Amino acid sequence: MTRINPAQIDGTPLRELPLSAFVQPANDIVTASGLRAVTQRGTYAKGRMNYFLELGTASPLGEIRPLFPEWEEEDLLADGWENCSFTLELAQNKVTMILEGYYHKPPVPLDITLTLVQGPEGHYLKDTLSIFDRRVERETPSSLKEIMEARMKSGDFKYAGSNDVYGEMSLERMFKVLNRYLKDWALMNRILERD
Amino acid sequence: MQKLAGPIEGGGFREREAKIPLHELAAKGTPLVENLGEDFMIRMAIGPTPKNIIRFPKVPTIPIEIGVPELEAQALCVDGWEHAAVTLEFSPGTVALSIKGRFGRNDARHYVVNTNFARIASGDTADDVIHIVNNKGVESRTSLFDLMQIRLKSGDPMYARFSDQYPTLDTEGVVAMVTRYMKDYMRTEEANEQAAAAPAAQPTGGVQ
Repeated sequence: MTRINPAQIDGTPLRELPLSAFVQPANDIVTASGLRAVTQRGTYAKGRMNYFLELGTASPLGEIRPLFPEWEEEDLLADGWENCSFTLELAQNKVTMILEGYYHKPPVPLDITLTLVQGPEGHYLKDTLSIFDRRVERETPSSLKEIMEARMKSGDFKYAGSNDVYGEMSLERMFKVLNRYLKDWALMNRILERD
Repeated sequence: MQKLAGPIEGGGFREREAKIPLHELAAKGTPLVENLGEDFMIRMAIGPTPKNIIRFPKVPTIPIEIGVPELEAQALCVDGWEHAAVTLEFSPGTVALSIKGRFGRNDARHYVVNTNFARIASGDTADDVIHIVNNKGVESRTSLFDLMQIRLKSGDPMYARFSDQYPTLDTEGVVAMVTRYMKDYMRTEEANEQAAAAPAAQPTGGVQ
């Protein structure tokens, strides 16, 4: 039986790669599976991980070769995250990444969904971030682009690093930037304004 | 046995077996169980949002090549399932099939059905029970083996397909058999209740 390393492409860990690096391998995997898309989901709660293949109503005709980043618990379940799921949907010339979960910095309980869709041309076809505050049941829409463009008065980037380039960031860097933003968001929204 | 076409490297197709007997499926799941060092499962959800998922305790490091039974979710709903989860749990050399769900879309008449059927790669049966509870809490038990013995006056099997043999049962066949049985069970219970509720037959004729 052929052994594969589902957490690497050419020896590089997937979490150190940008989403654009997944497009060509995704094409090969989808073709081999005989499906229109291969949806993989990892769910993480403290001390426990499960890996799901979601097939819709289809049955794979070929073989499915998993391609999924290996996360250390502290990478994903960083300060504030109670649980989360990371979804990677592989389709022909399209890779969709969804990070969703429950983020809780007392007293701020948030449902977070970050969706990025990578096309074949190198840019994201979709970039949305939803922050849903359970206390007021209100959603604040944003995007990774908006977060990365936020600057301090000094002109320096507020959340992104000086070497971070939108569209070329590794998954690991993306989550670091997102976590900085969420920590700040929770701090700024600790006190609810009266209507 | 029905064959399906599957893609192969470099283009073209090869044939893949469908309707795989459960004991063969148990053997096919063994490389994955060994690779994971733990059990894994395939679940097919029947209901308003049918979907098939495979759950692993971690990401496998071998290609996943295992047949997912092809259930006609829409047809099963039309037959009477409100919702059901058909689960195949793979452990070393064994596959356990369970069907858990609600049969009957009417609140006044529905059944909670729990079927467990486990097969070992050698072909032996480790478990075979169908447990039904109606909406009044009345329980009933049977098994796939018992259902396969029931025949019409003509001698044809009442719930099984002609091609079904107990040692080589497949997932699709088990689901179909339980569905046919439940349709009949519901009809029979309804008829019995109607007969019990009907007033006693009146004597014919009258006083002149």
